[in-house]
Amino acid sequence: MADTSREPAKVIQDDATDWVIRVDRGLSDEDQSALDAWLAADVRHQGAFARAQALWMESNRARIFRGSGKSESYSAGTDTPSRSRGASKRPMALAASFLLLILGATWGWQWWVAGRFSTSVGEIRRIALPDGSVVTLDTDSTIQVDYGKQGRIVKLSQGVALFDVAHDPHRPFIVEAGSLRVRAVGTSFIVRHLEEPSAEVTVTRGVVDVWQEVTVPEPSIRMKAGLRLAATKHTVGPPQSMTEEQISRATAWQNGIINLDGRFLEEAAEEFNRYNELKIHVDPSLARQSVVGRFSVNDPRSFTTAAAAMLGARVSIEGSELKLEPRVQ
Amino acid sequence: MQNLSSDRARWLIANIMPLEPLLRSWLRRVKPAGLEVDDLIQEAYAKMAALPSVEHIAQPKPYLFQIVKSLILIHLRHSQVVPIESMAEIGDVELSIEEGSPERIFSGRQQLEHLMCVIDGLPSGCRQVFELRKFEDLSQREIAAKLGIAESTVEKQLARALRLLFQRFVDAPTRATPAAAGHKQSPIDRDAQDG
Repeated sequence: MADTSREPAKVIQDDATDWVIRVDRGLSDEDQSALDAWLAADVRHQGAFARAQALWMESNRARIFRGSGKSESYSAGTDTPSRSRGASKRPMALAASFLLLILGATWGWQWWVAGRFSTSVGEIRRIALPDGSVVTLDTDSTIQVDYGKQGRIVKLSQGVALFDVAHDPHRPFIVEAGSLRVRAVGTSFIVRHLEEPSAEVTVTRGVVDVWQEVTVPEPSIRMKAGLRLAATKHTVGPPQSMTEEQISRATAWQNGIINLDGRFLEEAAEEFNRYNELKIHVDPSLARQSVVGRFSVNDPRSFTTAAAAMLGARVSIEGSELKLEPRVQ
Repeated sequence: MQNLSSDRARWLIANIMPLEPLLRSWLRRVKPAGLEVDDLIQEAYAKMAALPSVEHIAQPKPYLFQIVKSLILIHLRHSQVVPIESMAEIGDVELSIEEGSPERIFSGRQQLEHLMCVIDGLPSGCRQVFELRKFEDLSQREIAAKLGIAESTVEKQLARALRLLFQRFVDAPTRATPAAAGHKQSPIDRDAQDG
């Protein structure tokens, strides 16, 4: 039964808030004992402290939406010379005036651009978006572009795409691939989303934030150029650094080239099959053999011929299938 | 319980905090004798922070209400007089939840967008310090050095920011515009400005 001498909940909440900030600053031994005593004194203290800690810890995730249409309040602040966005103010102003010029010609795109782009098997397509960003779509890929007040949202429903993103801190550029989210500010990166629910992000220039959005956004992981990260439905792997070779291999498809540097034959065949109706079928006994070389994506015949020569195998054509089999002894 | 794991923090913010308005309105209707709504909410948070795991909780809403219901029963058992109607009303908890006021449970995205609006609406001084701490990841000491202010001022501003976030994001979870949030003067605003 509550008695009237009980401490009001409001007071407890304010005390809890103060404690959270003190913990964030760092506690002396003395502070620590005081906090322990305070927590032990009342179960409500523990609850209020947990609640305040939760909000404190989670509030940095709101950064994902920094700049989503709330720009007035930044530029109005003359008292914030030290914030990092201050450094980029001048280029931003230039960009803004440029946008205004175009705005007259292409009525209102700035707020609303939407469309669906896709490539068929074997096609690689470069799409220039109205903000200056360029998307290169790999074979058999589909994106849905949705530029609105909330930001620039591109949904990669299937396939592989390379994004060269024009810098605009006011409107975040977010790629959605399954439940994976990648947010970019002036950068270049590749998202592979070949089959649900897995996706992979490779950053070739700049910095991106990656997070998973299943029911709620997870905390984001910051990725720099030269890093790759793979995700499944519920997990996001740690970013792995890539060698120069791996990066050039990851971007080679833009130029219609498949660069194999010791990949398994079955993986290489899978890669070619993404681009061609003529499918390569690899005999299981050869699947784990390694192959090297640079090949044109739309020339699976040259590849199979070269692979056969490398591995001492033979090639046969059956219908729309190129078969790689061990040479019969 | 002192160090809430980041997983638990996320779970509480995503699953429990959005249910607070619903829980409050239910508690105000049930009016458990002699018990304060906010006390019960704090106790419920203590319980949920202390759970060894929350993975088994598929449906946070009935779970939260069950916890609050058991807290009420414990309090009532300890009190001398147990009003019959209290027990009856509490028995109806499942029904009441379903017919409850329209839920304002935002999706994760909306929740964070709204939080960002509230942060944008913080008074400029405390917003700056808050953003340097949370978005730029500077320590309190580094912020003090960078802005040339005392560490105690940084601490005070952060505490003020967090209190305002509670008022505007949790306690009044309407989707305030940033302008409205910025102009609304709360008692804490005035306190801090006087200080």
